[in-house]
Amino acid sequence: MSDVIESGRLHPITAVRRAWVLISVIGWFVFDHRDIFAKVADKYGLWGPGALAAVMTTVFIALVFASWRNTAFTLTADHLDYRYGLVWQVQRRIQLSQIRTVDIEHPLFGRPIGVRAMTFSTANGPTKLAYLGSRAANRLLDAVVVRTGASSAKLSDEGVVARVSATALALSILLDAEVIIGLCVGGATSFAPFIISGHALTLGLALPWLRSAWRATGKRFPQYHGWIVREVEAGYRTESGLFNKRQYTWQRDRISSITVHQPSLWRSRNWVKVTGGIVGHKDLLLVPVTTRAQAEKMLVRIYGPEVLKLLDNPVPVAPRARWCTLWWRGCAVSSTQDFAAGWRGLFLKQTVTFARITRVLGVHITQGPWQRLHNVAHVTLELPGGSDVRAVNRNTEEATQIARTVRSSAVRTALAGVPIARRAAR
Amino acid sequence: MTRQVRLRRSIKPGREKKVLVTDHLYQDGLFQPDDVEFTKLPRKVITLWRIEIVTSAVILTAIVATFLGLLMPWWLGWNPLWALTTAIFPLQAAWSWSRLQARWQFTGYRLDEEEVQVRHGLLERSLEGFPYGRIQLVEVSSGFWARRLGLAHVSISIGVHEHSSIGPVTTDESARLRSELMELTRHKAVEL
Repeated sequence: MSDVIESGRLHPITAVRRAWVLISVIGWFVFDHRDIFAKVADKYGLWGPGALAAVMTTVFIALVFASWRNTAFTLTADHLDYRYGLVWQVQRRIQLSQIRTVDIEHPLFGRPIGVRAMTFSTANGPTKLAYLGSRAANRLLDAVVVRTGASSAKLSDEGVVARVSATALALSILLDAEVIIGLCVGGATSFAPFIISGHALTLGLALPWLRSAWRATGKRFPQYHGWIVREVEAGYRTESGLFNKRQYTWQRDRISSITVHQPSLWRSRNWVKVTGGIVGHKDLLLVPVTTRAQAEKMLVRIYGPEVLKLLDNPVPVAPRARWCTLWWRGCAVSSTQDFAAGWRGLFLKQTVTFARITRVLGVHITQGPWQRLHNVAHVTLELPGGSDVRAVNRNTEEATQIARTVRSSAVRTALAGVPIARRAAR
Repeated sequence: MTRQVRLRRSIKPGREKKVLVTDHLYQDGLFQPDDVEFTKLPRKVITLWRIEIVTSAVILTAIVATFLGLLMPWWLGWNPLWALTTAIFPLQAAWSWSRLQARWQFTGYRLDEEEVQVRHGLLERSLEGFPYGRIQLVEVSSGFWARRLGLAHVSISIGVHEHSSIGPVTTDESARLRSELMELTRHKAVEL
């Protein structure tokens, strides 16, 4: 049994927030049966409705109190326990060695009372502790960050690597041609059944489009507003948010891939977006818009200068691939002994994904009938979190060679790593 | 050459031509690394695939016909365009049915010293390879029809969102594969 380092209950507001269903039901009940209150008032005077309201309030407070009593966390030297729930009680245990990133959020409605929400990302997905008082949150953050191999967040270097201005952010959203064209096409497709048939029911098909339109444009601005990337000893820390403030700590050795995206209308300004793959997350945003030079500096800091060799030596696809893809000129691959990079896209968006070969989980060759006719195939290097480096439409001989080389490197790495079983035994 | 001879022997007389056609689609080593044989799935799998093809064709045709009937009632009847639209899935099913032998020939798996390789597909072919040290989870699952035929899928997860699946194989083979993969993974697993 490990010694407890930090423990406590979550902020009482947590239980009130969790009880929103209960509050809604009670509110609806009171509104829908307001005549009962009137009848009780007629019969017993003001004491009647007063007593009724007191009983309901007491029940509500008791439930909220019980829920709060049952929501607690415990941090030990090797795991974090989190239990919550009143009717459906859940107890979750996270091994500290499995924590990839720690995220702190300052929710808009919680800011006046100074509460924070913490998210711990693991391979199985995020676990959110909401809400904690600011002091408890800071203590827990420091304790977890120290024990997961990084230095204390407070003591680390506060150097700002990239800062996104509101103007640049707004412009980058407006110039994201892929999103805008996608929304136009999606909108036309979603409303087509209504235009053809005239049935009001078919408007329901447009709801997913409305949701994605909001997420792709309107929601991005407040979410990414004031984006700052800081260098910390562990790697990087990102901070953002107009209403809900968020903090994300990236541990350098947990990053499995880095992808640099460049939408076509950003090319004249040489802007790029940088995302990263971490176990449990596919494309986590590192910076929503920055210059290419800045992105390359960040890449070098994560992977070292050797990664720049990849940028200088992209191997394009064979001309016969032009029969299989319109953007064949934008497809390329490059590899060294330790790294691999894949280029994709040409018209709307170009992306380059970089990864260490030692992080490759599996190698996947695919070939459709049209590709078979032209003797080309895709080779996909699967990476933790679901991101990948893809060699698009390579000659079959070259695809075989890439797959064989990477497969043997991946197998060697898997064999060279310290097996979990042996570590556990130690 | 050895592979061709072996395949000819395993197929009934009169089907040699089909065997040669499927054989050259291995694309000179692209889907046949190191020229090593893959373990084939049991023949019962073809029955399961037939059931799946018919079921999906019936359901998709019914959905398309209903959708077209509701939105464009003037299309109903013996309109050739309506007939053609609703016939897409039955035609696709007929083609898939006719290619089941080739699909079965191509589909297979292999457990070598360091990794597991899975090969599958009919139109879109694929070969996946995962080192044992990277496998996170092995899961055996069996659907309604597969259970009745004594078959089960063995899914392998490596920490990405999509799982790769071996099979379906017989239930005994699935249990053996699970034990063997778990044993190999237990000794060789490294952190992601």
